[in-house]
Amino acid sequence: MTSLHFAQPAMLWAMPLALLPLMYLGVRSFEFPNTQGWKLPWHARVMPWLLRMLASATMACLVLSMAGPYSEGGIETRIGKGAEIVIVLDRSGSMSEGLKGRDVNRQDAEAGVSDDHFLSKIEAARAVLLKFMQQRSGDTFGVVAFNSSPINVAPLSADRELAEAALLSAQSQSTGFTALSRALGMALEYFEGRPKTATRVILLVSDGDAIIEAEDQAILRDAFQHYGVQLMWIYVQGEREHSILDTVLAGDNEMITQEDKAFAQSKQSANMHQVFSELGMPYQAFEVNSEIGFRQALQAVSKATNQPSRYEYRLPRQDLAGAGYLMTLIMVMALAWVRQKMLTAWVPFVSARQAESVVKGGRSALAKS
Amino acid sequence: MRWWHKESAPGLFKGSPATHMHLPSGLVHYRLGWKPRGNQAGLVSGSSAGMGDTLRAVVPWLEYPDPRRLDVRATLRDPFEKLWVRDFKLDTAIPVIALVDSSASMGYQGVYDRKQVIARILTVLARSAYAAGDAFGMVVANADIHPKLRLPPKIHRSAPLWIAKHWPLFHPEGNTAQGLYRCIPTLPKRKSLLFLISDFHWPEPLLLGLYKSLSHHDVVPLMLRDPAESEKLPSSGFAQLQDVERGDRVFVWMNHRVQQQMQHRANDHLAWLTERSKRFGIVPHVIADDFNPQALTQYFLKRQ
Repeated sequence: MTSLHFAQPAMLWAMPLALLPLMYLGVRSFEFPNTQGWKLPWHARVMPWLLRMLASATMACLVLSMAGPYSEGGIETRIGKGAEIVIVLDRSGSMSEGLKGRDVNRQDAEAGVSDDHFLSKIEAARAVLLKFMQQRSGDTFGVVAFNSSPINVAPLSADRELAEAALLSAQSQSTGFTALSRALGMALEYFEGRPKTATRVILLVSDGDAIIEAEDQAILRDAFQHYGVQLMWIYVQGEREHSILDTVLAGDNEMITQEDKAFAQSKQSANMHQVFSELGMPYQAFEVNSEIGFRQALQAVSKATNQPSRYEYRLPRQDLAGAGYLMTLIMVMALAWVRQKMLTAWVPFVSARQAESVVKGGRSALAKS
Repeated sequence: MRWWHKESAPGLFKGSPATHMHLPSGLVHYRLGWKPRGNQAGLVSGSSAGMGDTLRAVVPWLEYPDPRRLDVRATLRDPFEKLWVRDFKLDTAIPVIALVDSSASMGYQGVYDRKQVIARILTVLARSAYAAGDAFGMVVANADIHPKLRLPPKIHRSAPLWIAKHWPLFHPEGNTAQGLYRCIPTLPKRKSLLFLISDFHWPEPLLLGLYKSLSHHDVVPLMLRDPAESEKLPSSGFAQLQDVERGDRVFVWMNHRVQQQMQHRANDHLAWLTERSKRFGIVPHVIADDFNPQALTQYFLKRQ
């Protein structure tokens, strides 16, 4: 639906100025001895009113333009390709541990002697994510890294280099606590104020080890639904973690005592997989325990995000002031033409001295005849 | 040659608001086709007996005992031996009176300032009248007679000065010249030369009524016309023309056709005046540019 709005409606108070030309026709008036009983041609009768209307319209158009008219663009349904992907990268201490099956010869790897076997989870994730980003040229990426608090590393933008650099710089560091829910919140905020033109995906790369509080669950659920974001969790499985499908407790990858289990279950939220399944938005989990598995997971992600997404696009408001000023300009030019055609003097006045010469000229003409 | 005969009189009007008023050279020499009555000696051959150059009759000595005019032949021829004297037609002075319309259109300023043109006409007429020994008077009227611009017909040596002094009081206004009727009872009984100065944008009854009331005088209508009214109209452009008498505004988009229409209108107006005047044996004189005394003299020469 399009309708007219004004950026500065107060300017419309100047509109009565448009009545001014109706009261006063600016054409120069000259005295004439007698105009009684003149039969005027049609244009002499129509022109004054045309001029008044023109001047009035010019004024009205100018005032309207100054009030800044615009029309709402309306909403259009479009089909979007590509996806907006926010990578939420867990860089907690546990991510530096080796990937399942590659967790040997760690000391050698850290000493730089061998890189044959050991591959940390974060390194594997980083390498594969970079490749993924390079393949997906049509997508927009943003990066949030988190351990004990989320870091706004690269906002959602077309600046690919920034996102890649952000990924490369994400180093694992243990600070003892994993702020998963806040990281997800920050990732969701990336979508704030952006037109929904593509599939929105939050790609969570994490090995679990985080607790989502009950109140955070509600907030996250609302936010996910509000922004319409799909969540994909790439669960990086190390040597010691359990499969998420076996209702693994997030934040519990070391010793599971009966008490811990009871405590976690009493919170109902400890199970990340459970929580994410209940978000009300499409959710997929990929359990990855090798680099190849990573690739397969990402292929699945790209498959899921390749589908065109229908979205409602709010057309930008259309500024009508420019057109108004253009019309004003055209009308002002017409008025300028009228002004230029307007007589400034009916006839040049002859001074007494000139009159003398006229008389003398007349006399000499008489003398000749 | 006296000062009032001179071509121009510099400094004559110094100090008066009409200082820059242009004084045209020359006099108007009016020749009349009729014999004026009256006993005041002047220049026009009249109908009463007196000093003149046209023989009127030969009369007995007792009737006109002037030995200078003794007709020797007639006296010798008379068997009764009476003395006879030649009697001539008196060269008579006549009253010259200017009736000036002062309705608003007489203040029109086109190429020429009409007020100045009228002042020139009056000045020249006053000088010409004095040079011929004639009385000069003037009446200015619109709806009523202007009391301060009224000069009774007398032989005024200083009439041009009087005009120069009083002319700043001439403020044309109103849309009628009906007041000219009011001066008719005050005009001389004997036939006089009347100059009716106006642009004659008059209703027909006023023109015909005035002609009828003035029918025992010799009326010379001096019609004022400005080049800005007819000949020198602009050929293109927009303008509004305001009727000075009625205040109506007319929008005109000047082009060749409109120009011609306006010229035709002016010519029609002149034709109208000429035709109406002809009914009373009157011929109007058009002053289309500035006033030229010689043209008026020519008019008198052509008239009969």
